[in-house]
Order: sequence, then structure tokens, then C-alpha cells
Amino acid sequence: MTHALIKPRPIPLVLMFFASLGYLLAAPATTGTGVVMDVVMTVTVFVLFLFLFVPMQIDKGISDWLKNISALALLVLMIVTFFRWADADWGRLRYLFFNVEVMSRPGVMMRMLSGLWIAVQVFLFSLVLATLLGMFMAIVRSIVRDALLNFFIDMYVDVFRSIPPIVLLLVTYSALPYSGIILSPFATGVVALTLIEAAYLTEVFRSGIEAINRNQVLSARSIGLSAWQAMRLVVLPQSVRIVLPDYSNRLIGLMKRTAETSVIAIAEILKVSQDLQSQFVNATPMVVGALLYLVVLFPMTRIVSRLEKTRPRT
Amino acid sequence: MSAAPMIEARGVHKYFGGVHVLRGIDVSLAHGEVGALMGSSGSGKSTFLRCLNRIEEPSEGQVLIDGTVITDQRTDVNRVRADIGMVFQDYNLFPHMTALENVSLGLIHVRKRPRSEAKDAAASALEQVGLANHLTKHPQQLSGGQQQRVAIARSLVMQPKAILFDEPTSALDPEMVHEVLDVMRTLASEGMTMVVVSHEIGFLRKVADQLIVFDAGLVVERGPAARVLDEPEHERTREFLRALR
Repeated sequence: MTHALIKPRPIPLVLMFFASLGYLLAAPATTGTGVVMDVVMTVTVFVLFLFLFVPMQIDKGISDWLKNISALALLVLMIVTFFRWADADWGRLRYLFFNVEVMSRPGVMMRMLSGLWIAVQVFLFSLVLATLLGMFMAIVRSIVRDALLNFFIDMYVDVFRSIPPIVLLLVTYSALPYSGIILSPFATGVVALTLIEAAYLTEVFRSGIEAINRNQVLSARSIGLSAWQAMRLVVLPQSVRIVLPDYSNRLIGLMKRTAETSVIAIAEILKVSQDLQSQFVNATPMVVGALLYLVVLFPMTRIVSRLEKTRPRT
Repeated sequence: MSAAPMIEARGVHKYFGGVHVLRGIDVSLAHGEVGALMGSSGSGKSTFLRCLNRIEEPSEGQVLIDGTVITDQRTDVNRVRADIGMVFQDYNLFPHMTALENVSLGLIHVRKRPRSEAKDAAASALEQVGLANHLTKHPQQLSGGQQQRVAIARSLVMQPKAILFDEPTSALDPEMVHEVLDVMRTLASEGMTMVVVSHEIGFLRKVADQLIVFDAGLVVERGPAARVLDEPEHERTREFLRALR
């Protein structure tokens, strides 16, 4: 009877939970009995998880506050267990990864922030160029119905979707000078990211254009609008709303992919963090770099989640 | 009134891949005449209608509007279409625009009229179809019958030489059919040349000058509406009319 197994018995289990929490906080783990008790209590944590927490999340008969309390309490219990069992060197961890002194040295934060600014610039340039190029290819593909042209666009899209960005970055960076094209690392990075992003965006825009009923185009053409006018005035305004969630997801991905331009010595967040890390033999800049990405990307991600919930039905 | 027919089709053929959908259609409608196309689904009547403004490209044959050959490759097809209205079965209004914007779109972007003038003309076209109170509504806020009347106004506002109707009432609830037919009846009485794909027998009897019956890509019977409806000569026409009743 599986039902009997997952039937929650909240009150005795909650009592047991607090008993083990109290023990974990109070008992020394150094003595023989202490270690045995620790093992017993750690096992108890997982038993509690299985028999208290999981059924509580499933069973609708249990009030929400009890579910929340049990979840929180369990989290606390697991953290406490980790602290008691982990062979941690907190002082060293703090010195290497959360070192305020390193970050407050002159010019360090400025370099980090200029890295952020350069990352944002790479992002914006590639985004605008890739959007224009992707939009252009998607529109051409659906208006000009020319087999050869469509074949070239399809090939472009599939080729550039098959190349890892970091590889394209390294190849263009090292090969371009030999073809007589001398670009700054920044320009090379923008070009490489644009080429790849344009391929994906072509597909995004194309799906948006194709999602619009063909009758809308027929109807627009029947009042005398040209193919381009029908696209601009009738199809695209409707496609934009359909495409927006996918487009924003690509946009977030592109911001993250700017980190890969560090391999061609663009002084964006990751590159600056790595340089500072080796300069000070300290990983704190890397942690701060991660936080900078978070500061930019977390709000973006939240907004996109909202957009996805309001995606119009097609 | 010029001597040339308003709409004339000469030997129109259409192939979809290997399928011969239209097998030589000849139709001629004088100025102000209303032609009705009937036939079972797949008989080619809608395809033929779409060939008249080259929304569908005829494979062979000629279409003449007011004496001008429009099937010539050199013809500016956008100008031709601006002069021929078209009303679809499922309205096909632009959902991101208000009724007024739907109707004024063609004037602004095809006829290149100033915006304010276009809006005025659109408003009066909407008034003509009885929608003066719905100018700023979007299609999804309108009933099917109202949407179809906006679609008619959208054609009308271009001051077309003719309007093509592709089953304009077959997507409508029965109680809304009459409001659309009323507008069409008025148009016909004002001398608009119309080609109508429809199975509204009562309406066709009163309004249609010519009834043209399609079967398997050919015209099997044609004549004055009352004659064809009351004394059908061809076996397929009889079968079809029996099925309608």
C-alpha cells in the first residue's frame, strides 16, 4: 500500500525534526558517541525529507503555512548538517573568494566596471547588427521566394548554427589578418557574434512571419499593397508579439555569450576578472564578475518570464 | 458607358502542380452587372474568382478589366488590385488595427492620400455599411457580420471598378447573414459590378444578373438567375440545387 507509505504524520515528525535540530546544534561531533549521533541525525534529516516534506508538498489537505514552515525548517536542518560535516576552511574561502581588501585596491572596481561596459557594448552592437541581418534574411526568404536565394539563406543559417561561438571567435581572430583584414579584437568579436546570432534570429523571425495566416497577406495584397508593404504594415506588426519571448531569450543568451569574447582578449568582464585574479592571486574578482553578470541578466530574465506568460495564442 | 465589358475572362486555365483546376473558363460581365458563381466545393469557382485579381496567377488565358488586359506580365498588378475590391469568407481584417485603420490603410499606402483625408473617407465608407459607431474598435470586438461589413468598406473606400466576393456569408451565423446581404444588395442597386461566389439562393435570385455554374473546372451552365434556378438544364446543376435545399 503506497498510500500508507506517503501518508504524512505531521505532528510527531515535526517534533522529531526539532529534536534533531537541537542535537545537531548542541552536541560535539568529536567524541565517539557524538559521531554516531551525528550519523543517526543526518540519516534522520533524509528520512524527514522523504516522509515529512515530500508528502506535504503532494497532499493538498495540509495548509500552506505548514508546508512552507516544513520546507524552510528542512533547509535549515540541511545547512546545519552541511556545516557540521563539511571539512571546510572558512577563513581561506573568505580570503580567496570574498576578499573585500582586494576589491578595494585602487582601480580594481573601475576595471571591473569598464569590463561590464565593454561587455554591454559588444552585446548591443552584435544585437543591433544581428537583428537587422536576421530580419533582412527572414523577410527576403518569405517575400522573394527564389529557390537559389532561399538555399543560400538556409545554408547560412544552418552553417552558423553549427559552429560553436568560441571556435568562430578564435578562427576569425587568428585568420582574418592573413586575408588582409585587420580588425580590432572588439570588432572581430562583434562580427563573429553577429554572424552566429543572425543565423538564429533569422529562424526566430521566420517562424514569426510564418505564424501569420497566409490569408492576411492575400487580404493585404488584394487592396493593392505591394509584397513589401504587406510585410511591413500587416505581417510584421503581428509577428513582433509572437516572436518577442523567443527573441528576448536569444537576447539573454547573447549577453551571456559576450563572456566568450574574452578568448580574443576583449577586456570584458571575464577577461578583466581573469587578469585581476592572476595579478592578485585571488579569485574575488571572478566572484564579483559573476555578480556583475547577475546584476544585468537577472532583471532581463525576470522580464522575459513575464513575456512568456503573456505570449499571444497563434 | 464604354462598350468593353467590365470583367472579361478568356480561356482561363489553372494548374496546381499536375491538377487541372480550371479548364478554360470564359466569362463576361458588363458594367454594373452582378455575376454569381455556384458549384460544389472543388469545382474551381473560388480559384477562378482569385484569378480575376491575380491573387492566384492564371496558368493560361487572359483576364481583362474594363478593356485592359491585366494578365500581361508588364501590368502593375498592385494598381490592378487597388481597382478591384475583394471580400473573403473569413473577413481577413487586420487584427492589430482598428476598423478605421483597416479601411484607411489602402488609401494611405496605395492611393497615397494624406492621412486626414484618408481617415475621413474611411469613416464615411464605414458609415455607408452602417458602422459609424464602431470606428475605433478592433476586429475581435466586432461580430462576424460587422467584421464582414468592415471588409466590404475596406474594398469600397478604394472606389473600385468591381468587387469580388468569395463566399462572404458562409462563415457567418444565420442571424448576421442578412446584414451583409443587405449591404451587398444596396451596392448592386447602385451599379457596382460584382462577382459573387455564394449559395444564398434567395439573394442571388433578386440580385444576380448572371448565374454561372461550375463543375470540375468547367462552366456547365449559365444564364439569368431565375431561369437557372427554376429550370436548370444541366444534370449537375439540378443535383447541386437539390443538395442545397
